[in-house]
Amino acid sequence: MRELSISNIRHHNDDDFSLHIDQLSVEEGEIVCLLGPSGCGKSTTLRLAAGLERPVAGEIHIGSTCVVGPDHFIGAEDRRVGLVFQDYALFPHLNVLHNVTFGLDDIPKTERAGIAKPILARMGLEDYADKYPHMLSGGEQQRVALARALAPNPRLLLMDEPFSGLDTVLKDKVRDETFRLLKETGTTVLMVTHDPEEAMRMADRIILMKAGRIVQQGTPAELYSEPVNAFVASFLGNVNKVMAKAVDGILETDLGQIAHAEATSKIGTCEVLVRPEAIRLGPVRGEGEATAKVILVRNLGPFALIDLELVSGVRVTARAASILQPEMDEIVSITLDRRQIFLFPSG
Amino acid sequence: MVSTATDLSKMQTSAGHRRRLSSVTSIFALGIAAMIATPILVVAGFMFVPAWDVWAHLATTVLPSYLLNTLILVLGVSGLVLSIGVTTAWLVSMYDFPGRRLFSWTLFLPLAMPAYIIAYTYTGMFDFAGPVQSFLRETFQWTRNDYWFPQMRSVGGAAFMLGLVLYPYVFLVSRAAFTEQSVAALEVGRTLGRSPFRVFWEIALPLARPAIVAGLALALMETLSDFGTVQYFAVDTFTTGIYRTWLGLGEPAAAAQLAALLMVFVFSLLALERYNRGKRKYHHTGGRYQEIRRSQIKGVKAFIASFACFMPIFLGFLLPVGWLLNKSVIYPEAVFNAEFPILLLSSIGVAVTASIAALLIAMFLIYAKHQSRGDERFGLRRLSVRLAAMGYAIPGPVLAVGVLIPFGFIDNSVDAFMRQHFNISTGLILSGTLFALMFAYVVRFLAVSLGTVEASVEKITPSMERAATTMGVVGFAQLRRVHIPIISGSMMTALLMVFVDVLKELPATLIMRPFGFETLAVRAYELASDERLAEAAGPSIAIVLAGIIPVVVLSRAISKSRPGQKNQV
Repeated sequence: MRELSISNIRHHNDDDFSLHIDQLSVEEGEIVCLLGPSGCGKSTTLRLAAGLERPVAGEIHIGSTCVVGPDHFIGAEDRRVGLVFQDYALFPHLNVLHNVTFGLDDIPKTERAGIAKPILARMGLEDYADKYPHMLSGGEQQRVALARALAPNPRLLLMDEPFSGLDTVLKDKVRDETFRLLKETGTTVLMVTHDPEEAMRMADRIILMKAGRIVQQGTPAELYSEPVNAFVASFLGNVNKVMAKAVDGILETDLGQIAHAEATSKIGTCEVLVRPEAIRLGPVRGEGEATAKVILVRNLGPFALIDLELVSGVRVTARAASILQPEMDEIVSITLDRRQIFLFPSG
Repeated sequence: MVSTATDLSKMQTSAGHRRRLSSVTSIFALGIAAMIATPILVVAGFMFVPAWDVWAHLATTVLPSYLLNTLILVLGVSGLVLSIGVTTAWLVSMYDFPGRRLFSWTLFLPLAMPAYIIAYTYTGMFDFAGPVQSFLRETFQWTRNDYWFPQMRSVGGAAFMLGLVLYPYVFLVSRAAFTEQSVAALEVGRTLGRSPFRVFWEIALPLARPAIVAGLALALMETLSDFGTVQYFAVDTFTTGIYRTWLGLGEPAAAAQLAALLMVFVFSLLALERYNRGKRKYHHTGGRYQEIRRSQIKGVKAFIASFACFMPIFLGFLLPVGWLLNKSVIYPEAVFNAEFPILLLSSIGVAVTASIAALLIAMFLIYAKHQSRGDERFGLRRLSVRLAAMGYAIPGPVLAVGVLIPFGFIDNSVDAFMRQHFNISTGLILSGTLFALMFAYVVRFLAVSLGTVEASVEKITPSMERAATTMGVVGFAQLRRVHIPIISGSMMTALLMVFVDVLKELPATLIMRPFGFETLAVRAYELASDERLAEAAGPSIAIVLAGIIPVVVLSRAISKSRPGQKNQV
């Protein structure tokens, strides 16, 4: 069942920015990430779903309820959605328990703590009920914000960059915990992030946006290996851009020849995108191989980034497991993984 | 080797020289601070002088009415400044309605209106003989006993007047608090089922409370210090009591004891303000700044919002200023007479002198402190700055008492000494001189210079100085190329603020001025007291016009201070 459905939304604000979404939906129990560079409209989309802004035109349904339609608008306070912000926005004048019970206004006072306590316990916060937000660490504050949003049992949880306030070490831990909790509780989530790695870790489905439009939707694997254009390919991971000449099903590049179905002579000279891990290095065996000289090796622990200079003078970066990393100035041979090479004739 | 040895000894002498200079600086700083603090210490000292008979007399006669009137004033002003200040601040920070941009800074304007001036303009307008009541009587053919009209000259009227000109203190801090607050917290509140009004009541207001209480404390400090309004309305409070006990009854000790009691009240308010300011950091929701998305309101609601913002400006500024202008247009010869240029000159003279003196002293104390960051002299010098800033909390009449008592003591001692040894009477050397008045101004307003300059000197970090040093820019060149460009703006602001404060100051000037010396404030007050309201209009307009300058400076500084807020006034 669809928990959130946004259709034909048109929206703009004072600046020249405009948002234009034909169809966006989140199924029950699904975690969907809105991904994109800053200013692409992902946060605005979230605010429209939350009811914090009213679109110029279009419809929004939450569950079976129409919350936005022609001459019809249900505000944030009556939508039953949960909201978690980057800075958590805990109420500093209320202790942890009262933060969590804040949304339980409809429930008799005596029963509120009974609802909040199990949620706090589940997040390992049972000893913190009497503490105030400023006494908590960043990770604890994040959990309180989540508990507060989940306590009124919302139909939909909206999260705006919920992990970017945390430092790198804490972020992975909190993110994994949050993911497990959301999946265990079967919560329907629409989450905004600018970090592709985070989106790929968390999302069942990613919606990539640019300049107020949806560029591509799909599973993380689909977006990574079947990008619809150069923007998607380079947003989801690093790419090398190399020039190629298309001749009858074959791309001739400085990295060697690659068989490619779309390579017709009609295209002529074009640019192809090559992921660093698509470039595989090996010892030089004989004539006819593409070769390159290693000019810089950066070891990042589990893997290494290797800068190569091709015979033509073009430089590319390859990625390999650290144990396979070559020496500086070594001449290596190159083979390519066809699945991670992208050709976008139109642009 | 030889040259090394001489270099070394040279370095040692210069180090020794610097150390001596440094301790001279410390002693000098502390000396100045002690002088500035003297009036407060003198008044505080009188708390320990037993004067039971005087107290018994005061307690049975005037003290109960002082206390009662002060209490009514405090409650009335609190109610008024809170309701006006918080409501308008919330409206201009959270909503968009016709005139919002204009209101967001014009709501400061009543701050330019000294309470004693608004007091007599309202009396002029609303008293029995004033235009409003005359109009009512003529229209309805009423006589004196046919109707009831609120009496301006009452403790309630005084509270109304003070509330109208003091609400900007609360507006100022609440607006800052509302714009600083995490928009996200309010939005989360919405998604948790709260209407916009309940979000205000349950989240925004509790978060802004420390700031609001701090603003209220400032407004109440001004209320307790007020002399002109209550004296004009003949409402007995501590300030008028001190004035009367000192000059009327000739009881300096009793006056000082009343002053001491008032100072206890003021310092409790000050402590309240400090405490609440400290608490704000726990109440700050932190995180990134987001631009507030003001919601658009239309129709009747927008009209109500505009009206609610317009009324305080109208009542606290436009109406009295209009009345004053009207008077000066009707009676130009009474307003701009031969006396006016003299008044203007003497006022500007004392104000300029006092503001420069305050700035120089402030710069010296702050640089003494700034230079000693991180070493053992820092504590002493910081104490000097703190001591020197205490004067702002002292009401004018209290200050007058605190200055005149030690000055009189010095005068008498010198006179007695000279008479005994040289048979010459020196009379009063300090009391009743411009120097005494200037001293009082500096004591009262030094805190303004200190605060303004200190804030910008603190922006010059040790790393900035070290960076300049590594590039060979040291000593005076560093001062000229690094320090001055950074602090020059604040120096100007400090001069301006003290200038206007001195121009508006009434009670200390009234008590301490040399015989025959008149300023705009004193003359406006005297003329108003003699019911020569039209003639009082000229000096009053001059004071109000000058008072607008710091209001504009202030509101511009505030509008620039918030990150994430573009092009907002």
